[in-house]
Amino acid sequence: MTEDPLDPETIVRAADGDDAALGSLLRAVEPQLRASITVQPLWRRDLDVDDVLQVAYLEAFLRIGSLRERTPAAFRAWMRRLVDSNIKDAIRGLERDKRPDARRRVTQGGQGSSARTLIGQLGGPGSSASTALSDREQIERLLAAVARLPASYRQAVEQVDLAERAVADVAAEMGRTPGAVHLLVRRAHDRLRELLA
Amino acid sequence: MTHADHPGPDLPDSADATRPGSPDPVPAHSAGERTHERSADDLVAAARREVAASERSSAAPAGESAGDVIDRYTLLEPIGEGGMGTVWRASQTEPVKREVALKVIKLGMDTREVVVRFEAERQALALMDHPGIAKVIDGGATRNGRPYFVMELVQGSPITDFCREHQLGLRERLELFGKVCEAVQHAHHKGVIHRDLKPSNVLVAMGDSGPQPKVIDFGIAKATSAELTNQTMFTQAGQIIGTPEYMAPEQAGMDGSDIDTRADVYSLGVLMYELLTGTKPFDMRVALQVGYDELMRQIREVPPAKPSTRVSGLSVEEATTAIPRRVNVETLSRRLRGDLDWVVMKAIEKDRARRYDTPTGLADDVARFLAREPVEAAPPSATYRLRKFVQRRKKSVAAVGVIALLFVGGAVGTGYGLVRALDEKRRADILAEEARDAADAESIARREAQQNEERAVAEARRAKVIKDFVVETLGSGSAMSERGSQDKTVLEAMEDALADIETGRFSEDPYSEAELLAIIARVFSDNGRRVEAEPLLVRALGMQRELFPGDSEATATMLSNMGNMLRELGRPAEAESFARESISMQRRGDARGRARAMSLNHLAAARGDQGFREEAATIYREALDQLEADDDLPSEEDAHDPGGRERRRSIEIAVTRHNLAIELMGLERFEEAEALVARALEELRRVSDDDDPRTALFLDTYASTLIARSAFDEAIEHYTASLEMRRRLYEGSHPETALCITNIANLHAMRGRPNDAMGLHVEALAMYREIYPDGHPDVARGLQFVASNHAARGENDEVGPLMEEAVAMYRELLEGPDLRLAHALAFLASQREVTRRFTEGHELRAEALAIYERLPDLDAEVLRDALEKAARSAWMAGRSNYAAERYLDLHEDLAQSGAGGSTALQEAALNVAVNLRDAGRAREALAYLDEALALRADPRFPDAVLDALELDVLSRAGVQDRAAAIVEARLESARATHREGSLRMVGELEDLATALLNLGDARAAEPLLREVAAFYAKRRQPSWAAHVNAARLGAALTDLGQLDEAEELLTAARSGLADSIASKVPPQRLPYYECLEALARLADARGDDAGFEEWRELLATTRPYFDELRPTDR
Repeated sequence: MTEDPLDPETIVRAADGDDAALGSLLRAVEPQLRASITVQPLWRRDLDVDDVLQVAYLEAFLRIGSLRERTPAAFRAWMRRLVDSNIKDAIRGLERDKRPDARRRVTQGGQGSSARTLIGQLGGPGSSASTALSDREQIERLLAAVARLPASYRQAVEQVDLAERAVADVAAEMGRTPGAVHLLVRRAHDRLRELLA
Repeated sequence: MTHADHPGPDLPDSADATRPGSPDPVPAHSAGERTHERSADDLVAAARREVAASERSSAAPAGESAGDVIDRYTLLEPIGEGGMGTVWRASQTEPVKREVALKVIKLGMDTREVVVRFEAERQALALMDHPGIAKVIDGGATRNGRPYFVMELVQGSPITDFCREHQLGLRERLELFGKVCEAVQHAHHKGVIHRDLKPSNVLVAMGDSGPQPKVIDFGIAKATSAELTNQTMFTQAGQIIGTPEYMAPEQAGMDGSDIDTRADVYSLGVLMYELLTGTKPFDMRVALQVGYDELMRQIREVPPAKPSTRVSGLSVEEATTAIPRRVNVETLSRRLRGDLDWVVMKAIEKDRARRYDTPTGLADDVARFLAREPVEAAPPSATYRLRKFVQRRKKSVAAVGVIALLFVGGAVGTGYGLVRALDEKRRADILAEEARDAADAESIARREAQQNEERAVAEARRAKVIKDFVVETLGSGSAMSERGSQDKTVLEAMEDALADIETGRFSEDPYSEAELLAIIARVFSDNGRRVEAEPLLVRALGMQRELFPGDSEATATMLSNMGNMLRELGRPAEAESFARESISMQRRGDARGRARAMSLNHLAAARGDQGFREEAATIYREALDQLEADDDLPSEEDAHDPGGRERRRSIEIAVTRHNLAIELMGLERFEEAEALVARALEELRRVSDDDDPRTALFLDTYASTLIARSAFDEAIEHYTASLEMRRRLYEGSHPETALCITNIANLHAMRGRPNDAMGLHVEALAMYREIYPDGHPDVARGLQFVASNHAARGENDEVGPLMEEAVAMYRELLEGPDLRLAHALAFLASQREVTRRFTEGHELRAEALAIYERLPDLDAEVLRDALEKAARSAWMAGRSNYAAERYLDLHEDLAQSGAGGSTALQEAALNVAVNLRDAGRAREALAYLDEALALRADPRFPDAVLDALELDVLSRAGVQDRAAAIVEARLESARATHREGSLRMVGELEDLATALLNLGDARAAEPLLREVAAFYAKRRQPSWAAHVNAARLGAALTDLGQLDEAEELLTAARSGLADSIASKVPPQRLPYYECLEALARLADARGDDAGFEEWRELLATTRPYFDELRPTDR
């Protein structure tokens, strides 16, 4: 497939926060990105190419400022990485659902409230000077950070992590595939780690 | 970008809430919206809308929205959010039509303090009129009563972005920076301190006359003029205001009342650092991994790399984005090195007295640099940096539990017993020296012959015998040819000599045998084979005492050497007794000069090793006096070789001076120590040749002073020179070689290069193990260093076995309380804690603390740190009583040291309260509650957390009225504020129900507990929190006599809690024990005595500190 040429100036503008510029870049790279995505037959019912792309775009809008090398080749490679990691994370989540790991279930069931479990999964924010009180404090910080997530991330975390609902149910409710919910959760965790750092 | 008040440090760049607005937010997808393969436009637009919506949701306060009119201003769009308020782009219609920036204090933050600060900001800004400062236009209150103010809308980018986007070169950056300094200086003239200078508060736009910076957001300004300070700019005690990376150390110290204009100078220095290097002095990403407290400590204590050093360490990738274009790393590093380094480093001095007094002072030095004139800033003095170094080290050393003063070598032995060189070239010298020793013995014998002619004859004969033997062993062709080598060393010669002695060659001449054994022992000892040397010297000393009962100078010398050897074997107390016996003998014999100085030297070293550094320094000074008095009787040899005598005396003076310096370094008297080492090195070099091993040792000590001055590369050079010398002088494993390798490794470790350090530490450890196969403190220390590298690489499981061995070795070898054992115990304890072996961690910490408390001259900070760690460790292990007692000690210590009212004191009070409560001593906890609750002013402690503690303590202590009132008020407030079934609501209900149970009001608690239970019932999987709630409901029902339901709940809860208790740290297990207690009460209520006893028994055997509880607590 031939590539649409990307305008280096547009990339600089996009990286500096011009959303319209980024939008036009994403439209330009979409055919190639779409063609590059291969979902194995086993997972096609559970993972939609559009879901992968949309989360990749969301990430692009959120993180374009961190793009260091502002050239067409670098931009294409960066988008490709976003897409690839989304597919990988979605499929990992789906595989886990099919073959539940006993250890993980015990962890979820036994580690206390859902928020505490989520804090554990996020690697835990820095402990306060008085560790005796950190539990409650961490939950407060977590809830504040969740409120700052993009809507789809927030919804995924609230339903899957905090309400401890099954991914399939949440996916049905959100009108997404289960794979999409997995990757939304995954990306949301990344974002939460940053917000809680 | 427009006027943008960047978010606080907890937001990464990409979460910047300043992106321009976009169409109204809509959900990315609503239920059922799925379509297959949407167009790119759909997907991009949806993503864009969602990002815009999430940014708006965090940027826009619930109170205002676009289109709202506040007085004369119409809000257009939110353009930023800071710690205090939200900034809107707004349009003004009268008296002039223009766009402005309007800042409203955000919801949830309108506490009285913020309002007062805000008021102050308006007044302060109104005083200022400078093209580099955003002007205040207006101020007032919104309809909701929230204050707002209006300021000039600044078009521009943060200064760092601007420089990058416009590819400004070094000169242009510095000129721009000068303008920023001028603007800040203007504010200072008007009595306003910014206190939060950072790139996002310095916006730059391109004007007619080039880039024009504007400083915005004097939101946390503090007035320094008397008129303003009365009412305004008050910062609530202990609340940190500012952005950590740009924050002056005195701000990080949290003493907000004592910030002056030099805090801004510091922030400007950081800004300059960033403009020059593209990096900040402190890397938040790294610092955040180590936690908030550690970041604050780094800001206060750790000096950052100089800009030139930082730039030269950038990777190619980093350099591409970090530094001015058109300049490569090497060129930039070269241009920064020297003047610009010192200008920046002076601006960001930790001690504000050493910074530029004013922004103008800083700008002037920058201007001098640009004009190629000499700058005022100069490298900090060596002494100052040395002091800072050790202050820093002491804390970090205590923190990781490794050895204090890593870089200081051991004290050197003196006199004849010093290290000898062993190569071919030195062989002749050794021989000559041994011969001279023998000649000394001859002269001694002659003096004594005046009283005992017969004895003198024997001595003389013995001297000759020894001399002949040494000559024969070392010099004879036969001795060498026996081994078939021309490279026989003195050591090999001594081994041969020993073999000769053991075959009975001197069986008829015990006098010579004793002396020869002493010589061989000394050579072994000096060459690192101390373990083999010891029995030989013991044997020699025994023979000496038998052959010459009573005092003699030869016996005194041997005693002194024995002392030195024992000290080197890590047995200072034994060493001390030998040194003292030697000195007593010399006193009785009126010995003065070199012989007595040698014994004094060994005594001082032994005392120093036991921690009595002051006393050791005094003894060294006495030894120096003895040597410098030069009043010992000249020997016959001295008469023949006056130059040689002077040389020996000079060496002994140099050695003693060096040893004194080491002791003074331990006492933090660095200026004196530095001068002494320099002088000692000079004295030694004047009289010794290039291969004198003492030069290597002195070089090490000198290198340690270089490290103290942060001259790391030079230090490595000196260490390397010293190491090469040692490898040349000593064959194979030798303690001095191992020590030198250790020092180099430590330097790598200190510079954060554990991988470089590891190989060297492992090599040193292998050497020590070879030298001391039966263990030695140096082996233990080597183990500890290898373990430290593993710890630095996060290999915690590797740390355990190494430190277990080190601790065991220290326990076996060290006498009395010893810092080394204490540090090793603390290190092992931290490993246990990291690997969740809390009980062991606690026991080790407690043992370490007991040692620290018994050590003389221990720094109060080290002790306090150990106390705090022992307390926290006990808390983690569930030993609440021990923890409470230690926190009480800490609280008392802090109070006595004048830290009254400080956050540290309040934190100690908080921890006292928590632990007393957990130990069932809530009534005692009451006394500390108010002090702990003062932490509400500290942003690290959310109100919800402290509220929970307050209610819990009050209710457990049975303070009925106050607790009940709080419950009532909080319940009402929670119902009004939180959504039913939300996590926050459930948290509140749990707190309140627990309090009601504590107060004995099971009836009131029951419905709350049932509400919480309903929440958890909706969850798919049971959780710890759900079981805890079930247990509490069971307890309530027991009290209410609904025993059947209670039993069902409690039994299930106990089983659920027991299943996951292993994953909890002991303090978190409290609810499990409360469940057991409830089961016991249930059995009691049913009249089931056997059941009651069974539960009590289980409680007694599982609850870790049950035995500590007094009967009344149970």
